[in-house]
Amino acid sequence: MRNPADDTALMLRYKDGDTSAFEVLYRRHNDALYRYLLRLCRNQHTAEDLYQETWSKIVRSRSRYQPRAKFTTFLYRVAHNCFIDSIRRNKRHDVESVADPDATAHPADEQAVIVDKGKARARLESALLLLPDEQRDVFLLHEEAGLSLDTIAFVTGAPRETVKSRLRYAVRKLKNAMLDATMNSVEGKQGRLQE
Amino acid sequence: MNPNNEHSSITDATVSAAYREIATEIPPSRLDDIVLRNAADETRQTRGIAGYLYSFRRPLAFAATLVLALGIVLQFDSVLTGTALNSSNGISGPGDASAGAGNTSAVVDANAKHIQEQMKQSERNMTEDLLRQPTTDTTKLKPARSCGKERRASAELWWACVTDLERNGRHDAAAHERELLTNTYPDFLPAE
Repeated sequence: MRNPADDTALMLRYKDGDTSAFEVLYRRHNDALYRYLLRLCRNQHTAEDLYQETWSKIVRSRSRYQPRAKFTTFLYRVAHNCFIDSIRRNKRHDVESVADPDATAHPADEQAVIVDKGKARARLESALLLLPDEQRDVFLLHEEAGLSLDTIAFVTGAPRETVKSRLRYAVRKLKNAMLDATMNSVEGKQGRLQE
Repeated sequence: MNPNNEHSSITDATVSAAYREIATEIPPSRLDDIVLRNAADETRQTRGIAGYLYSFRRPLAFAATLVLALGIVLQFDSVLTGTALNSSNGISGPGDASAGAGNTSAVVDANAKHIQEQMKQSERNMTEDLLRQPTTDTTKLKPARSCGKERRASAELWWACVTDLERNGRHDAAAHERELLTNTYPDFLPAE
């Protein structure tokens, strides 16, 4: 498990002008942050823009950085705020975000991906993309950043109980989507056997 | 509820494991390059301008304090100089001028010297004016007594005093004493 004090120490070193410390810090968090934004935005170009914007804000704020919280909390709060700003800037984002994954057909451009992966995992990814923004945000903050409920509540600005509820709904929907895929697969095999 | 129990009641290991399998994306290397270059540029930029000044903040603060203190002293001096100039115009007495002369400023020193010169000149003029007065009128002109009561006790002692005055170069005082002696002892004839 990563020691959060190390992240803070690295950020403080970068604050004092040590660029190599920032590179170490960046390499630690770049993958998880990228995946968080990629799945949160559901659009690669937007995710890349927000990814750059997030790191840019971190870099610019280095002179004012105070280790009041864990660096991960700081990083994902900035990223979350960038995403919220992006939604406000681009009203087109909210399409289909509240749709039920079970009632919606898979997007055609995702079919190619599904072929290469197991059906359950493909169904999970599809269901994840179709979760409401708030539920997907909470789930990704939990899975990618490894944040606790309290920290997610701080990052998103939502009450702790709301965060807990969102995470529970998200996990339940994803699990159901995986089970449905498994059931369909079993039924398909049984149908083929009966024939 | 224990946070661990609460956590396990919400999350699902199967879902987490499945998510771990699909979450394999990494950021393009060009993004890494952009971010790291920005971070390095930011450091250089800050070090170049603000960082450079930041490293000199203590000497700069010290210099600023000195400049401020010097400004206050100069301002105070100019106020005192104004007071001394007023005194040189006859508004105040020599005490003010001497107070001005006590300052270290060259301006104030010069002003104090000027005032002292003026006072000496004024004193000289007054003495000369007094000496230029006609000496016949003894009621108007009352110079300091050169020969005391003891030396005026007899004509011979008085004359000896006049002689001392002459010898010491106090001719005016000697002449005055001689006149008084002649008036007091009209028949006195000094010995050769």
